[in-house]
Amino acid sequence: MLRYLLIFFLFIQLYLRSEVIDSFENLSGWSLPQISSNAFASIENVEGYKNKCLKFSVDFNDGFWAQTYKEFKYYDLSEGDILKFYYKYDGDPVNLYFNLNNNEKLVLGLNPTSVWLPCTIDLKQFSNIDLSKIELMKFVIFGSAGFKGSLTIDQLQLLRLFPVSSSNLLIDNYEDNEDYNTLLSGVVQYNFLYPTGTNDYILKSTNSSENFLILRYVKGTKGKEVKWIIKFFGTAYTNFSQFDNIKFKIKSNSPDVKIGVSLQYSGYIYNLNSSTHNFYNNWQTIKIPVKYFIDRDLKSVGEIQFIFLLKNFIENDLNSFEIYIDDLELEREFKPEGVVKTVENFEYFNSSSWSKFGHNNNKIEVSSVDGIDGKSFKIDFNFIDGDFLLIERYFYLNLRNKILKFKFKSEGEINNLEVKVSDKKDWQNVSVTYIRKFYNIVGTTCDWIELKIEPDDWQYFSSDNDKIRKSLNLGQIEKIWLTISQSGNSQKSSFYIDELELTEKLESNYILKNGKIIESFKIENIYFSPNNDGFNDRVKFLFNLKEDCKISLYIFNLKGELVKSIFNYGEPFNFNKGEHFIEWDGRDDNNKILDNGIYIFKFIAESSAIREEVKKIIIISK
Amino acid sequence: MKKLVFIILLCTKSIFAKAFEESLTPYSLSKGSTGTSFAIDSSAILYNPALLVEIRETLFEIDYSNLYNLGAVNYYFSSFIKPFIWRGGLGFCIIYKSIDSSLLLNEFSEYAIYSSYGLNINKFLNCGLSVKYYYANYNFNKSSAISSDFGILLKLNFLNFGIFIKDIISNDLKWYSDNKEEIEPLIRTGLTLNLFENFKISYDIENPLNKNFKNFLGFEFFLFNKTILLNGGLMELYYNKIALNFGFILRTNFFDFKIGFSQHYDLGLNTILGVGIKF
Repeated sequence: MLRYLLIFFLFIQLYLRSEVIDSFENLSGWSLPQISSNAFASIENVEGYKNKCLKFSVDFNDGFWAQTYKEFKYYDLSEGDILKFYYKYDGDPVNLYFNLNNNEKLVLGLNPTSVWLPCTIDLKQFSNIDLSKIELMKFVIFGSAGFKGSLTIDQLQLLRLFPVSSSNLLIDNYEDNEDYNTLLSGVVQYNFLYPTGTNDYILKSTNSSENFLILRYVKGTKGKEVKWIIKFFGTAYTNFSQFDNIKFKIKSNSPDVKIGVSLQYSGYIYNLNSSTHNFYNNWQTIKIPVKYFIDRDLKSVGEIQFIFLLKNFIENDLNSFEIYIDDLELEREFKPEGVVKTVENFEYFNSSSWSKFGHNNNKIEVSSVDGIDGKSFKIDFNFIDGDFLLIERYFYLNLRNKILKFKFKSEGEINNLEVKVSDKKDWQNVSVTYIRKFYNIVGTTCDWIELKIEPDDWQYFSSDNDKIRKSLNLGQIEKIWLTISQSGNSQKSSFYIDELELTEKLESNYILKNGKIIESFKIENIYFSPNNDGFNDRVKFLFNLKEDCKISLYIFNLKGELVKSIFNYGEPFNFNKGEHFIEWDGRDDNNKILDNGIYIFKFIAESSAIREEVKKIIIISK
Repeated sequence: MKKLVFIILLCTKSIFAKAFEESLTPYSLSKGSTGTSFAIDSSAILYNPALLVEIRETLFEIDYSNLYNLGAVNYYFSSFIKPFIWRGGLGFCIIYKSIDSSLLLNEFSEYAIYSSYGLNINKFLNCGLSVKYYYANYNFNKSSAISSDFGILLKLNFLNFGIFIKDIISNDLKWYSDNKEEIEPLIRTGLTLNLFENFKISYDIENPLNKNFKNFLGFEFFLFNKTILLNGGLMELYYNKIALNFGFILRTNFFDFKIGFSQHYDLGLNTILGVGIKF
């Protein structure tokens, strides 16, 4: 029952992502075929569906099977995944089997075809093996003695379907006693200059019933700082969302240990505060927002390294200690409705991230205080003989078609609040246009006020009025100012800000209502920009079905050419009654992101008796 | 010549969608998009400017289509062609596309401006050149580019043979978002058999050097002393699917009334209407 519930929930919310496992541009890793006795077989690299492909030729003679295989270091698949490839076949009718870790399943019967056809393999049929550690893939052809044929295969892809609802993706719970040496390395760094590897710090999992990871420091080792690097390979966790959290349990047997965590390719180190997280002999659950590490770039970070960094070890005779880690997870939170990015929630106060500036002798102080949901940012200021003061921060934001919003409140006198953005960091050195908006902030202790800045609200303004430059690139905003200017005789005041967010200016397009089997169909935004910048990279097709249906979704260009079949052309996918959505990342059937332009989608729902379709356009503007 | 061969060899990529790609007229659509080797109207600008030489009257044309009858994309085409000096033909056209306001788009516009000239080299050979300006604005993400098309027409008894290279030379589309897109050349070859005085069959191949080449077949039949031109054709789509095309032109001394249909396997009926004025 649980299994069916899981499958049901899997299909309630689909998140479709694809990646090419092997494009067969060369035959690297593909071994010469293993064949039955007296048979002949060969592989070669020839022109394929997209550039080169694998050509697998067999002549069974007196034999009946042949196979070609590739060994992978580690491939992390799951039951919800689908493998897809394109093939052509010429020869006698045979059967094609696909083999994962020496487990074989029939894929299809091969008959001669002169055109490239897609083929998908639902990995549910491999549920009897551990799909998370795939080391071997094989294509196997079975036929009759005397049969001959040539199979060409190209663009072996992984289509990943997994729920985007709140879920934790378990990275490791350390329950098994695997050899962690491939995943973990420990080094002592001398002033961060000359790391030297040593096995003294390699952890071992315990063999108790409740296992966890032990990072062990041995007394007598010289060094100022110690770090362990935990590496994760595979694909499941390499595409972070800014709504993800790294979550784990940690404790230490020493009260003096201070720990920082950083991610590979990120200059940030997240320090676990010993005063707020007392992990001395006490399991603490730590949740670190991914956005803390990847402020500017949410693209794939590839192989992940969690670096547990022990800081401030100066004494050579530091006592031995251990750190224990368990249940390392990637927590994927629900995306708040419409929110595309939490720019700053001020939970992690870092006075250096926001610069402050007081005109003339104006005084300005910043601090972290209790806010709406956690902490907020407080600015205490005192107008002495200047006109304004400001705080500013560098960001990398796409404001195109977005609403910038935050919440604020103030204490003290009435002042003016001005919000400005610029696409230049070094705006002081050039004549740069920025856009701004004025608000009067009421100088009384009041409730939080939400302030929304719609795209049309921004006004162009230049520091050099003679050279107003209206070509501000809203897609690449790099700086935000919040300026408070004196109004009247105001002096000492406070200003609070919290939950600075970017939300999508939604243009929900209801295309169909009250259909016979499609209750409703809409897309959230006709425009989308699949440039992998974390914003509006996918178009979402939302639909509500009155009954169980088979669904097809095709994308065409305006010439009428089919550029993408979300599922195989002519092979609808089963969906249960209810609400669903399908996201498309703007890639064509060759896994290439399509060019800017207008595209037509065709959505077909088929039940046993009725066929209903929706056709409309979407626009790629990246 | 070596350069031309090189460019032709470059035209082996499978072209997928790109802004400005679709260009149609009632006449070209109704005869299966076979316009590389024969044309009687401003379709010549779009399909092979070398054909402009063959049109010996001054024509003005306006066409409109709500593409695939989706209620989403409005397509406008207006053109002017005129026989010109040095045994040539001159053509201008503007293609403009807009999105239906019901779709609540912030900002959208897309147009292409063509300036074409066809030149008669000798009794058997014409050549033609188009220079084009593209502009698009997709939700404040703007771009423009200059591009050019080149075409050749070989005329023999009962046979026309045309080669058309679209976007043979162009600069890249540089969008405000810093995204850059290459406009790739597209090659078409076409053959028209003049079987009888009133009946022609045309056959075009798109991307002939590519394994994913596409076939187009069309015919045209003059009726009632050339008062009516009846067209039909087939267009290859994908997975052996085809589009069936049909249309006709009612020809008078001063006006031509045109209509073209294409029944796409998946997208349904595409209709385009047009009016031509003759001077």
